[in-house]
Amino acid sequence: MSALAAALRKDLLLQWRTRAQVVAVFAFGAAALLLFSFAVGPDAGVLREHAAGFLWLGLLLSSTLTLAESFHAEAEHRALEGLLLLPASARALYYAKALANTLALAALGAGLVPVMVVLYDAATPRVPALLGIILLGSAGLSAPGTLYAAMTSQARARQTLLPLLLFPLVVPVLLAAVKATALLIHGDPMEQLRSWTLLLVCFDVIHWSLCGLLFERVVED
Amino acid sequence: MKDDRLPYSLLGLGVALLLWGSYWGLFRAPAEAYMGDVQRIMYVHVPTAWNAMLALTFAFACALLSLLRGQAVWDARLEGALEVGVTLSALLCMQGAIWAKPTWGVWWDWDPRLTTTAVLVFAFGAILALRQFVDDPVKRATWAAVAVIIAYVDVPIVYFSVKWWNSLHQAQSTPETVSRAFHWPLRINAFGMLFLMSGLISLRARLALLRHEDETAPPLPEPALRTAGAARGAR
Amino acid sequence: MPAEAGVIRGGWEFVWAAYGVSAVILTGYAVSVIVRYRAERRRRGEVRP
Repeated sequence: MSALAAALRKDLLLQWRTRAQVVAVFAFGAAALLLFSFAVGPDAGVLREHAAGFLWLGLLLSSTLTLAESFHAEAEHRALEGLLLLPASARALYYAKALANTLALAALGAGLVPVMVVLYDAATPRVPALLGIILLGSAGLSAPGTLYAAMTSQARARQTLLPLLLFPLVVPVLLAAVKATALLIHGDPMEQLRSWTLLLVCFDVIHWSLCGLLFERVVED
Repeated sequence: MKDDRLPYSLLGLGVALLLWGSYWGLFRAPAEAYMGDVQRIMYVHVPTAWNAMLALTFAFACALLSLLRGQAVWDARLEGALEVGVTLSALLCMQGAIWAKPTWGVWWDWDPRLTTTAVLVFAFGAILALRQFVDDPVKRATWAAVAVIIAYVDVPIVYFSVKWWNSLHQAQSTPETVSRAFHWPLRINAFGMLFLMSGLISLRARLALLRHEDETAPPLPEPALRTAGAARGAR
Repeated sequence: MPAEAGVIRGGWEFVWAAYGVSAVILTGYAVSVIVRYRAERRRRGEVRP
């Protein structure tokens, strides 16, 4: 447990020290949301209808930057081998990194919500629920994302491989998060929010367990 | 050296059965009541579906064995099963589109099974791409196996999420039931494709194993290489 | 939904397209595997059965 806490502290500290990049990634996400408006046209009704989709597409595209960055320090300075020599297990390293990535993506998602409100006139009174969905979705992106980021940081063509590997896997996260967000924005007359939230939770549980189990094999020598 | 008669026989048998089953399904089986002649596509579409899933399931088994046993032969079979599985899945999507156009009027109707297959093509195709960009054979084997396991576990989740996502818009069910009288062409084609697939995976795995041996063989000095080549050729 | 009476008429061009695409892809892939395999074995100077 203490290994996990120490590793988490290390990763959060790393993220704090590179916070300039966080701002850059946020700018990228906001720009993406703007581009979606240009692609679809200035019809306010259409934009509002698809606002949830745009938000999550923007977050998904930005996640490749965040996730790839998360192993940049380890890859650049060969720190991974050093870390693995410590008594801390690879599993603790994985969960710490995945947790740090989740928080980073959730913060990014929360930051993009005002952009969504302004550009698409899509707000919701249920803010805690929206933040909850953003957190669950970010966790879903981070679990396989962290594992594949570790893998591709050591391979060639890493910038192409990470989204190529990750995007098909997180289709359920995209579907569920977009649906849940749309229900929060437009109303939920048939009480479907619970089902989509459950899907997100199931995805998260399965992948946080499975990827934690397999991470050791990915970084072993 | 290895005797290749088994995979080639499987290929030949598979092709023969497919030709027979397709002839039957195209020319001898009667047209279906509502679907008309378009139904005949099922005689090749359903076997492709079964065998695509079978190939990817075999890939999953190879991935587990590759991680647990660490033998190169399982990684070779994984590579074969992946390539064949992705090819069959891509073919499945094409067949599905050709079937959907006369049936629903659109090339893609977001049927959960076909949509999941499309996601699979990308998911497992990406793993084939991953293999191309990793030079160390041990890492390549381990990472490919890990990726296949994660992707395969994801398959049911993708299927259910697409199903729920689509059910909110269309309450259509895909009429893919084939009535009893038409089972024979389907069964023949199913077995034909099974043998074809097995033969292809076997050959592709042997190719992968040969390449792996080349990769991991220690370098020989030039004169030894020449005599070794001559000795092998004379055998 | 399909045609007025609930029955799809004709559509043979789609049937041929489906079978044709299947044949082309399966044959093409099989040939590519066989060619690559035989090339690899020939390169190693091995005699084929």
